[in-house]
Amino acid sequence: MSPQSPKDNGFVEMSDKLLKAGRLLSAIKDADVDVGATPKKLVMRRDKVELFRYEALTEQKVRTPVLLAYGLIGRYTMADLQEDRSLVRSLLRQGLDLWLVDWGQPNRSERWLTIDDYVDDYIHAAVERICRETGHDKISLLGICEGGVFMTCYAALHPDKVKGLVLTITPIDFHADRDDPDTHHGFLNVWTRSLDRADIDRLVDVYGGLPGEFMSSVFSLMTPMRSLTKYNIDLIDVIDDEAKLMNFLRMEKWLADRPAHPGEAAKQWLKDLYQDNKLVKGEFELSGRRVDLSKLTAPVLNVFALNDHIIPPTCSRALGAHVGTKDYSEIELPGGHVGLFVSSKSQGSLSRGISEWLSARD
Amino acid sequence: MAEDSSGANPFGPLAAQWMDSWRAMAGAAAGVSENWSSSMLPFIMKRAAESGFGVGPGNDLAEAIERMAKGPRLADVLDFDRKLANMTAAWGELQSKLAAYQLVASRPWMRTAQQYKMKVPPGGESLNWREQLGAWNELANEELIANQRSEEFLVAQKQLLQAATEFRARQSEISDTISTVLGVPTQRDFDDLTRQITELRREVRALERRVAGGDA
Repeated sequence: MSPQSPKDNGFVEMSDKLLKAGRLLSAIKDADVDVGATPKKLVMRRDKVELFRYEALTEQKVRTPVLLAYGLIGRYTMADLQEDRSLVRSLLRQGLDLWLVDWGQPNRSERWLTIDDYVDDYIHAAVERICRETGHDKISLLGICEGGVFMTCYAALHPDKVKGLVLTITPIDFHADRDDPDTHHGFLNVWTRSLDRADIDRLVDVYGGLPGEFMSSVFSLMTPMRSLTKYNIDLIDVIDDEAKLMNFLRMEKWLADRPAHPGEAAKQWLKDLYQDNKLVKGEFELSGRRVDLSKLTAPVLNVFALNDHIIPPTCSRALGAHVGTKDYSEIELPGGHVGLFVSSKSQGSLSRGISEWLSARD
Repeated sequence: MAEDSSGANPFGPLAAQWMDSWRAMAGAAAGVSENWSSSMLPFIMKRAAESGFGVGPGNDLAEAIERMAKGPRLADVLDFDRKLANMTAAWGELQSKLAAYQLVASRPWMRTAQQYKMKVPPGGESLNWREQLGAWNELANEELIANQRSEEFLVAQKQLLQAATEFRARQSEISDTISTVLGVPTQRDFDDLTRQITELRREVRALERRVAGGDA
């Protein structure tokens, strides 16, 4: 075993490309790498949370407004990474009236916020505002990952406000990773269960939240070699293709934009949900009320990715057995947790599946 | 530990060359661009450096924990001998747990090297370096993922996290002490204040909803 000498042509070529990468990267400005750029208007601000309404790109075909929420790990920009890989744009092109709740950049100031605050205050306030602005008494909800859990809780606690619930890559049974035979899936579940409850409390109390950098490193562990080859092999592989390089940089920008997860909400997320699996057991409480999944009486569309290493598909699929509606549908798509939103292959099927489902229930 | 893993890594020389290339790239770019700080290069360089330029042993978690723990360096501001004793002990514990973690984290690299020898025998040198690297990556990925799910790894990373958190807590004690001496609010004061604001906000909003006849 002796890899070729660094003097071999292939390696010299790579070194040249790396130097080229340096020159190119120094010429590209931060402002050139725009993410989350689809035009939208600020409608309401509540603390750091902002409610936006996206500008229509075509004639409105689905009358019921749709509120999009991402989780508190990462930012919503994953759903609007770039013009040709944007769930947001695709949905707008299909005539949806799309709204966004953006959690902003939580830091230690948000340490005491709980999931109760996010669901019963921020989301509720956003829904009420949308209803006021549009004259509807119910709207549809679209949740991504942790945002999907928030939307699920909201729909169960406020069924009178929800016309339809669309979930994407959303964990419901946090222990169902054990039913997924793929050992590349579910490390986050295994890792969280390995922690002592006191460790989580101490971590949050000391840092005032769950540091974004820390969660990034846990995510990097899940795809170890891809993480190690990103800034050498992957980067030089795209350096000759400007479009691919910009894709790479936009993805990096999204990955780097990882605010701290508010502290008390992080304790609920890790202990109540990941460790104790309270949501599916019907034991999860928000604002003193039990979140009963059988109270999900609005139609539900559950979308998950078959190769999702962060949220194993078994964790999402579990919802079907608990909902109180008979109008429950699933869409399983190839790809991974992020790929579902940014891959050109899944773009069409994801947005088409969602908009057709919403349209049929409008 | 680091020696063990790099010794098992047949791409050691390439890795060194990579580091040199990155440095050369940074130097060259800095020379030609006066707009360095507003370009994407420092951003990518920082992220690449955080990942060890892709040639580290894959201990992202250990490095992130260490970086987080080292965050505030207020302890360097004043020489608080006695007050630093606890922190020093916590630092020692952190280093010990870090070493234990790295030992566990380095094992898959050795297993990868063994498997690579079997899979790509000496005749495999006819493969170009990309093919060799691809074969290595595939094996290493499987070994690293398998290792991460082992009880040994999970215990080691948990103990590392505990030690890092304890060290950070000791650091905060010192920074709070310094803040008190200087008459500025401590971290604890800030947390108390934000807690009061959060609770007050909840009460005001509950009241608003009650007044408006909302369902809260």
